[in-house]
Amino acid sequence: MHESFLSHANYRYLRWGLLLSLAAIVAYVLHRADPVPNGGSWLGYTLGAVSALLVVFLLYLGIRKRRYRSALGSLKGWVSAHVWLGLSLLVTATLHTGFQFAWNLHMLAYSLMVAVILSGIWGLVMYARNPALMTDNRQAETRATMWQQLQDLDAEVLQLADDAGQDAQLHHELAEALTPKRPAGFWTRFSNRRWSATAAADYDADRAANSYRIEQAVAAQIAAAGDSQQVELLRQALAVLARRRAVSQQLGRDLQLQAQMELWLLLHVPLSIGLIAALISHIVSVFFYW
Amino acid sequence: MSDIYTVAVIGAGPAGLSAAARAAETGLSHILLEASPQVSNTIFRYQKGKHVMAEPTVLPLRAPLAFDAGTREAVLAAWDEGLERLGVSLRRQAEVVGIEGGKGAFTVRLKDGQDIAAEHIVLSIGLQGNLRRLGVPGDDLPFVQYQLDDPQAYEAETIIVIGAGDAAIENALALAGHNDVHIVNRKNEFARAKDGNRDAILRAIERGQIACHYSSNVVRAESGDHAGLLVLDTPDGEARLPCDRIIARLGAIPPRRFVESCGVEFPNDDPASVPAVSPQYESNVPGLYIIGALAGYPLIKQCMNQGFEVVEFIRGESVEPADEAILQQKFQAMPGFVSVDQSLQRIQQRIPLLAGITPLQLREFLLDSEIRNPSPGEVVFERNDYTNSFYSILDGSVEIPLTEQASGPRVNLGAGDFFGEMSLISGRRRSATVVAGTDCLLVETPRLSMVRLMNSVSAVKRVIDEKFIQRAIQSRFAPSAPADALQAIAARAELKRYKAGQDLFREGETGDTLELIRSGSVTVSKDVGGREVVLAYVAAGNYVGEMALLGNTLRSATVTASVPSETISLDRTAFNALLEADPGLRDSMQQEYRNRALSNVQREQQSAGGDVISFLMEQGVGEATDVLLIDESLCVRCDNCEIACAETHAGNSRLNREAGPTFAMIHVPTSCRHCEHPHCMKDCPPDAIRRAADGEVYIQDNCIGCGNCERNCPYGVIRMAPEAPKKPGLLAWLLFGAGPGPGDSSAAGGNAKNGSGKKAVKCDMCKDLKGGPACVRACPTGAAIRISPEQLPQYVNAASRQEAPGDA
Repeated sequence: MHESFLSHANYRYLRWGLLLSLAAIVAYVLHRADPVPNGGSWLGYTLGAVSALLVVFLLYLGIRKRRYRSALGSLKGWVSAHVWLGLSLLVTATLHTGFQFAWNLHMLAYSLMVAVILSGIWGLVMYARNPALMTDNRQAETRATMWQQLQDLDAEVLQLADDAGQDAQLHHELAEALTPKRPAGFWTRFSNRRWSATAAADYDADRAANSYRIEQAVAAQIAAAGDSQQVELLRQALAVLARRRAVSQQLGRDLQLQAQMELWLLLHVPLSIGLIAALISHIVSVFFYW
Repeated sequence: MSDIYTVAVIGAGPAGLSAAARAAETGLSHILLEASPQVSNTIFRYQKGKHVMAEPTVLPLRAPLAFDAGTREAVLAAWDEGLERLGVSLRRQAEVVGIEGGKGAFTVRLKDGQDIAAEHIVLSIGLQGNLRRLGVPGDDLPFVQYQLDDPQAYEAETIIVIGAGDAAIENALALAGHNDVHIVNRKNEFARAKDGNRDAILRAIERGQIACHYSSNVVRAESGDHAGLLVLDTPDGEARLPCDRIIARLGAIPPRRFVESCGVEFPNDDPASVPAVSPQYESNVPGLYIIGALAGYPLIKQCMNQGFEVVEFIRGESVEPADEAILQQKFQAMPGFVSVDQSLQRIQQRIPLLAGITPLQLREFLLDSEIRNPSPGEVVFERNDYTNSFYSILDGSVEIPLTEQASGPRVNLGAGDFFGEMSLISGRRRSATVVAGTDCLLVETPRLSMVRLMNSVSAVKRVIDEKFIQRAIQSRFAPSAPADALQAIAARAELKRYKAGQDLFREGETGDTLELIRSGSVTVSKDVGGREVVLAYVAAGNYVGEMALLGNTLRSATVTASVPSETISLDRTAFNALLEADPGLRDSMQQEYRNRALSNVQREQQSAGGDVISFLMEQGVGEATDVLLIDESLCVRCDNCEIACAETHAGNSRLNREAGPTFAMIHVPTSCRHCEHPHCMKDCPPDAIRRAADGEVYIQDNCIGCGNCERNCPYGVIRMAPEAPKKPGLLAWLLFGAGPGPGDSSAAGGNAKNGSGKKAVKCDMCKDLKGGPACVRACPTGAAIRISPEQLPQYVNAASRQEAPGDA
């Protein structure tokens, strides 16, 4: 019932893509190139034209995606065609070069194309891998409920810190567990090496580590404490801190998985724009300097 | 009190105001009595600036007071001005406690001990003024209140909120920030409240911001050394709580006891029922007239018209009803039209179903209905359409083809008969195509009006039920049996009602009935190794328990209603009669049983599928006609579905992709399921929620923004949203930053100010878009699909096959 874009319409576009690639390879092998295979032969022009048209078609996805009223196929079908025909572009465009590579403008267009396709493949891998991981990590939570939990736990920590009024040391440490030091950078968030959060606005890279350190300190105090009321308070604090760290790790993982599913687009799209510019330059220069 | 007024109007809402204003205008001696300190108390208590709508727009206003759609302030100011100009004699804070006497000499007893004499009484007290009180000693002490207008008005007080509904919770939470708040709950949980409210109050209690007294009953309130004292009966014995204020939020009820004490009779015991009145709005007590919401007319304009009309009747004038012109226009489609009255008479004579209803009910019924004059051979509706209007045949006949072929056998229905009741009751697609015969004249009635009529006139409901049973049996078991042979069988059949989660029967019981599901749906489950495994989902229109009649009386599985359901129960005698009527039936039923048994055995092997069914049923898929499901292993969380929804629906997304539960990677987002019997349709004053032929439940532009549907929807898929301004073009946004961009909410900009009012918005399944639902078409990965219950068994099979290996 749910059918992936990859297998859309019984792999129609995979079959089209394979057919196109196969046709290009057969033509290339049979073609008598003079003196060597190149983009200026009739086959070279044909492959170049096909590739250029493919690029235009692939770029059109960006527009079609935003035509929410369009009844021209489903977006899933378009994405399916985008993926499979986009992969076959690697074949047609490479054969178009005739494997003549040099440090020039034409090579720039080709490299950009390869970079776009590679970033697309990276995206495919993320799309295949991350959705299920995300669901597993989330359990029954949504991002909003995870934020809410963090805020609730923060409030609990503060309450405990207040209750521990006389114990200046503990009060200080619990309060410190919530004090942001510096906002996390993009890479920290993306890699989730050391990541934690209290609210959408203040990410704090050091806090998870901080929290862990304080947990250890609190645990040490439990061992040393004599007063049973004190022990109870410390136990509670420990439980809340541990729970808080677990939720913040879960939320961090959620954001990381999402970021991974979006990051490739930050390369894919600008590179495509670069590609279209380089491609136009390539075509103009080829015809201009014929 | 030497004066005797010609008319005493009780209740200064829109209806009462209009009646008193008309009386003043015509120089009639009158008095208008209002219990609260201001007129139009309900509207007065609306939040500031709230937009008041004037539906139904087709109906002309005929009151001496002005009324136009506008802000609360403008409406109230116009009325105040009118009262002053006309010199209406009004007495505020005059609560009526009893009415005695009869026509010409009524005595109205006021709470302050005064009596007022009047020849006629107009009762226009509505339903809103009657807040449920505590009903214990001290419930009228000054510190006990039944409403909360402004939570910010109280600070640093000890306040006890009584009640466990949404109003009580919202009040308690709003007060908790700056007061010491207690909440008293008669039960041990907050089951009646919306999920969001429940979570919020539980969190507040857990954190100690609000003190909760569970399983506690109020014994009495008394004045204490604080301002007051509340005595509670708690599980731990009596508790005495000193407080500054008690706020009891216990809901509103029709003031039945008071109305009955005046001698007025109610048609039945339903707490929501309203008294029956004559075409002149006179109740069974001569001289006592009832208008407005208490007479069953909730809309402001209707009420005001009735206020005008009732005074005319009292003055002895005959008034052409406000709907006369509209009815005349409708009836002109009838060949040989003479007058509205004559046409009404003719309709009532020709259609036995409508014979027993009052003239007022008939007018209202026809005001909502349309007269159809289809040409011979024209299709009235197609099989599998999702329409659910009801048709009565006024003249001529219709034909119902029994098979797909045009030349096949047909059933003929003549004048006086009706059809369309199957979809009306089951909420499912049309079970047959209906074709107009020669000289065919039909009355088409929308679902809501029909349901209203069935609920208020039990004879109508009975006739329709009988016919439904007969036709259901015929179409399911004996298509070729003659109608009169079926009548006896239908008479033996029993209509049974089940709540969600209630068992029709349990595995291992003996039983000798077959249950034909007429509305709702059920699940079939079996005990496998000590665990209840759901094997199948059976939708309305199908039957269960047939083996009991084919010889095996031991039930082989448990059948449970997944949503509120109704079945037609056939016993062995009735069934044997059916077998006689159609000898082929036994074979076909045995065949179906074999298939079911086989698939059940298969399903037992892969019990995971049952978990998927159970999960989907818990999410209300059992009553869905079209539900959005997302495969989370494919969903890349791009939210393009929401963006597409917003982009195609004036900037307001009607779906929340992330919200909602997930099981085995199947995610049920917060989005309309287009229920068989839409909860949202239940109580829509302007009847703005409709169902289109393809099943889409949508909201028309005449929505008045009352929010009833939002409250009635158990799935939280209806929102009140302001109408969004037009979005700028893509380039204007991209280059000049003009207005909200694609997918941005356009609701943010400036709507609160222009006061255009909020209206209900919900999924309409993109019924006006050529390609179908935008959410599904905009999903780049194929994660989002919409399925109907017919596809559900197939869906579950596919899902359980996927899940089984991991589960095993």
